[in-house]
Amino acid sequence: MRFRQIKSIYIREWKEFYRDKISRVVVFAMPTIIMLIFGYGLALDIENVPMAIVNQDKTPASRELCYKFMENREYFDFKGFLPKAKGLEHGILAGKLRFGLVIPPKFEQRLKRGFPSEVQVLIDGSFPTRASVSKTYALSIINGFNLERLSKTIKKLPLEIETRYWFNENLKQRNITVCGLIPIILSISPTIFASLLIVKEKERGSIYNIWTSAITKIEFLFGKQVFAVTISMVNFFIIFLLSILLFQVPFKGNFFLFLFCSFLYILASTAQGLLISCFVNTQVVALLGSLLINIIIGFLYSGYLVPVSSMSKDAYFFAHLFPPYYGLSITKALFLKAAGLKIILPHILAILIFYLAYFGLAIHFFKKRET
Amino acid sequence: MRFLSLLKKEFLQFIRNKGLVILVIYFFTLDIYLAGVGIDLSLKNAKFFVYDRDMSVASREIVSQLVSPWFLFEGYLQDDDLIDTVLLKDQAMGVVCLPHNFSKHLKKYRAKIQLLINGSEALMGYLFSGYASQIFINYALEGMQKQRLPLAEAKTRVFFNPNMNSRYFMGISELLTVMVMLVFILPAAALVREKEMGNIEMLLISPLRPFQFMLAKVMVMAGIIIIGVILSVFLIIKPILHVPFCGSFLLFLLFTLIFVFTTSAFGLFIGAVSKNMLQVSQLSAIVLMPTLFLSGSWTPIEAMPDWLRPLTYLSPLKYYIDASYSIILKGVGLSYLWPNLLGLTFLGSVLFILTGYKLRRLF
Repeated sequence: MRFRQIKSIYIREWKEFYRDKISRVVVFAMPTIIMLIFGYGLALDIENVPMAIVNQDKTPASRELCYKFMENREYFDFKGFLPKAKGLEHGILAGKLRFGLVIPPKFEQRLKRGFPSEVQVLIDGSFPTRASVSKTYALSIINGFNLERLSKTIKKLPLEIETRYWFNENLKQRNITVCGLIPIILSISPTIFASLLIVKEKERGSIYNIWTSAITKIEFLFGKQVFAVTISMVNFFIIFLLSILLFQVPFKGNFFLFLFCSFLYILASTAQGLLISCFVNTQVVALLGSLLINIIIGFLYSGYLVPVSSMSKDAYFFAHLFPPYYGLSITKALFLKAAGLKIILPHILAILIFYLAYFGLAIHFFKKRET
Repeated sequence: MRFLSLLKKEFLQFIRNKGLVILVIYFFTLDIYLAGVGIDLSLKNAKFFVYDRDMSVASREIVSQLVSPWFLFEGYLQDDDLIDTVLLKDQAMGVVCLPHNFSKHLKKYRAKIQLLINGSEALMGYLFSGYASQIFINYALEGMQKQRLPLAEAKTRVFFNPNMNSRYFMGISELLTVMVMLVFILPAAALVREKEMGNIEMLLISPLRPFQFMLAKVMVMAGIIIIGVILSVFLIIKPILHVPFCGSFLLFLLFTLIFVFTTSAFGLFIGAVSKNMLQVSQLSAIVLMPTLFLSGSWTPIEAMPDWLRPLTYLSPLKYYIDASYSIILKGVGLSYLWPNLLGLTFLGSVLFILTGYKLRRLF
């Protein structure tokens, strides 16, 4: 590898980048906008579920249960009482309500006579996760109601449950959705950028200059990669600062360790982009291909939405075949858990192996002549 | 005639890009399959360890209440420090701690169970603690008295998706996401490609009207996407993901047609603004993410911050996605959906006209 060749590729890319006004802004804007949109918008905290109640009993006991639901401003957004259960169903069908409670007549009477008494809970299932969480909310509210009544009449419950959330004491979903975006963005944007750096030359035909020049494959690819890494590191700082300053996610770990891991991760992503560019000839395919590989894997198979440990066997295996799982584990470990090097070392090694493999394969498959 | 040959040209241009054809087919089939099958957003096989300092019959029995498919027992921990390790390494969602003399205290009504939850998986962590507490409380209540207690019992009825099967949701939302992505990127890329290759000059000097040029591109791209949607509904969504298609497929197709036709015009707009593919890629991502987001395809509108909610009415995708979920899952007919149809058509036409104007200036 000759330093001079790499440098000239690097400088050439800078010039091109500098002359392209729109790209110059847009390349940095994209990660920022993704961060803002997802950070604010991807509300996995389930709050404000619009709900209504049909109380056909109108007794102290039924009213108390209603209050328990109405008080709960955190989870439910109480829209009002409805006279009939039909109205609830209609509201759910029209998408205006997502949750409904029906207290039938004789609710209190049955309880007083010592029988169990049924209430109906109606849930909109079109967002399954939200449905199952709001079901859990409802059951725990009803449980609280029961325990309170029991403690008045009979005895208190023989056991007490104390729940503690580690690493994220208030169970703030936003902390996780925001810091988890860092590895996802860093798997999407550098890959696209690096793959376009090469494919644009193929599509325009300027690749012939490279074919006829004395530069070697490694020097060419490495020069492009160094440029892609430079740009992506700037993006890394932008999104890291956004998550800390704007979204106020506490960063508990060692920053320099995180910086190093992110650098390595960006190396792997850009190498993946180089590898993709070996197989495609048009930029639109390079773009769609990079998106295709990284969006699904980044969001679904990295542990971002579902913990990898509880995936099915195939999915568990699949998740381990790509860098985002390791990147996300490191990010969570450093952001939330303040873990040391020892815990994340296997993940770092995995990313290093991905980098070497991607880059090696890219060198192997890159053709420096017509085929 | 001139218009027909332009259509043919656009179509050939697409077909000849083998990589692109394969990718588009992949997007509409395997990709949706992977998203639908691979991921389950409900609590499943949540791994947990038990730190049992009592080791009595009662303590074992209460732990044995946490069963599959929700929970997966991984083993007993012997040591305090191990709790830290398994949670740090994400080996478990939670640890159940039972203190000394748990069974004795249970008889005296003051037993304590500690649930330590891995908070770095917030959603699943919440479900884990919710389900586990529920199970423990029910167990304790059953143990208290043999006859039934005067309790309020919830009978849950979940609409549209009774088992809260996330396959339906993931499958449909992935189809919509893929569609929107292609609707933006394909036309934009087709236009920029002409620019980069220099073909645009030839088109500009040809006796074509800008409107014909735009219509040809939009029609071909929209046609390809519509075919993709039909393919994925009949190959993946219905037979493999078993999504119950409650409503009328034709109505769904009508909405899809209007949406794809108008929005792909907007894809051309991106193409007209951009000079090269790098710009297209970044610009379309910038437009795509908010549009997807504001549409409520991933999270419902009520979960968004207050200031964002009014903005959702500006996204044509919102009307389309609302309608699609309603047609597919709820089986709702046009009588409920005409506001969506109006909103979609109106916003779509605005986009279409805007693009026509921009392209006229290009010519």
